[in-house]
Amino acid sequence: MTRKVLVIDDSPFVFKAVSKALEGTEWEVVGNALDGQLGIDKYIELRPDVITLDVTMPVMDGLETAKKLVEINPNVKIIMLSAMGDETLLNNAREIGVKYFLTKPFKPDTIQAKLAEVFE
Amino acid sequence: MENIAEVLQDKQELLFSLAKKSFEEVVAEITEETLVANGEFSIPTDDRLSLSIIIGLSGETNGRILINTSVAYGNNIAVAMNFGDPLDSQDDLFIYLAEFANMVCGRAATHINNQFGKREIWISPPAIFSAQDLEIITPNVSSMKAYYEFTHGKFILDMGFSESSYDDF
Repeated sequence: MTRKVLVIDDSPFVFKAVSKALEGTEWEVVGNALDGQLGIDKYIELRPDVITLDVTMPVMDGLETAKKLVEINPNVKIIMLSAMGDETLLNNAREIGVKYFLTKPFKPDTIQAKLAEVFE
Repeated sequence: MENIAEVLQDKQELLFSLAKKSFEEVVAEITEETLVANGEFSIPTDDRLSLSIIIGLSGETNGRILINTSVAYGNNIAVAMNFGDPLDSQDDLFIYLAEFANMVCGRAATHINNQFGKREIWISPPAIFSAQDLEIITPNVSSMKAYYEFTHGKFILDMGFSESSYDDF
């Protein structure tokens, strides 16, 4: 069964890298959004199984985006995929309901392992 | 007054040491190569386009981080980020290198914020400049530099602190 991934990140690199890292796996990147608001729109449109979400983005940052996504679906599965990962930020994300974190840069096996962990 | 200057110098050296640690960690994770800072050198520009990536730092400390290299060396890092495969286009080079700088500066912000136990700095989106014999000058900024030469090329990490930060002391 193919599971759908949505990438929300203002860097097109992340969409390319995640797509490449998941080639030939059960995971398929079905869309990307370059800011949080677009990401929410894409989430509603595509209903992915899991979202990778950046923190620092224009229009709406990752924390605000996560808050709105949880409001839409309390069971939404989000992996915070960011270059930043200080304790204050992680605690703020946990309070919103984000349970999974991955720091950039990442290798194909690390993101595949993180996705597997989400559905354990 | 001397005491304030010493405190400021100590703080800047701590921030710079964390920025260097971040650069070394991120490059090691991308290239699986262990880095050690080298002695001073210049990036050869006779047959190479210079390339600089700049990211602003804001918050309790204001300043910027510059990563200076060449297009050819930058391409080596970008290919490593692409899991060893060649890039699709020149546009990809700049997209990948902007993200490389974002990773280095994001990691630096993480280490710095954890060190201070609060949101000491925040980073801005990167900007990339490329030209022959490019030199970026940032007035009213005191900077510290670290030089790295490894398999993928030569890179200069340059962290500058805005003099407006001194007003806090």
